[in-house]
Amino acid sequence: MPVRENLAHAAIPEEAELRRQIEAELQQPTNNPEPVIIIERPNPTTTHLFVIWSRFDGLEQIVRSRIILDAFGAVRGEHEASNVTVSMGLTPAEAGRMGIS
Amino acid sequence: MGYRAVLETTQETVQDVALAAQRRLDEASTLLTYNRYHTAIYVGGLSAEMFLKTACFIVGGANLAAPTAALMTPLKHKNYTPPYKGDWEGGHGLWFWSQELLARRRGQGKRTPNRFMQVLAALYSDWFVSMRYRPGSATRDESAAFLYNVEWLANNHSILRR
Repeated sequence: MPVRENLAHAAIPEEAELRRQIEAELQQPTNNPEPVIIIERPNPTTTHLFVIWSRFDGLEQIVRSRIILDAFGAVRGEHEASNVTVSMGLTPAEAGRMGIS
Repeated sequence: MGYRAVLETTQETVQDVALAAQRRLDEASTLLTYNRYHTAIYVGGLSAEMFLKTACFIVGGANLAAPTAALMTPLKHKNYTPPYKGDWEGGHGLWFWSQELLARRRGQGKRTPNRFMQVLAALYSDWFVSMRYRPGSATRDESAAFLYNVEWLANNHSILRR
């Protein structure tokens, strides 16, 4: 067994793929039904991100949140990402229950 | 199934934390009544953390049903630059949360009661999350004064989160 000198963060196997798809949608919005990306700016210093996607089913909120924020930061830059106060991933059913569409 | 497994079956929401803040304050008062001064301060400080945290979340745009994981991720992200770099304390730091709340309110043009920083300075001088590892030597007066300031946060929470 090799000896390692650092602790590797164990990403969810599909995390990179989900992030890539959100990045692609942010760069070039399509007419695909999902993912639905909602960027809300209630004031100049605050950004709320919501992504509604069936593929989030079974993923913990903290993982969904990380995927969304990483994708947003990669596309829109660090400065914009630093204004994000809400980074939430929801399945369509969850979004319906929360009244988000 | 253990108690932890029961709690972990549902994700924590802003409402959960707001309710927990009040319960911890009630429990801290009970500890004070039973002469457990150090632990009363410790539990009271956790309550203060939760009042500050939920005010931050709500000022930041969350509603009570929002999962807290979605609100903590931006604060732990590499892109985030906190208004105050010290006192993170694993997400429990009272000064961190007070500065974050002030920054969010200022960014939206909202004034904060002058008393807020006096209360936080007093709380910060008596509490840190790792105090749970100390046997403690707090007096009754110290404990009562601490909880008096936490009660100010509780009583003014509706203003702080507006």
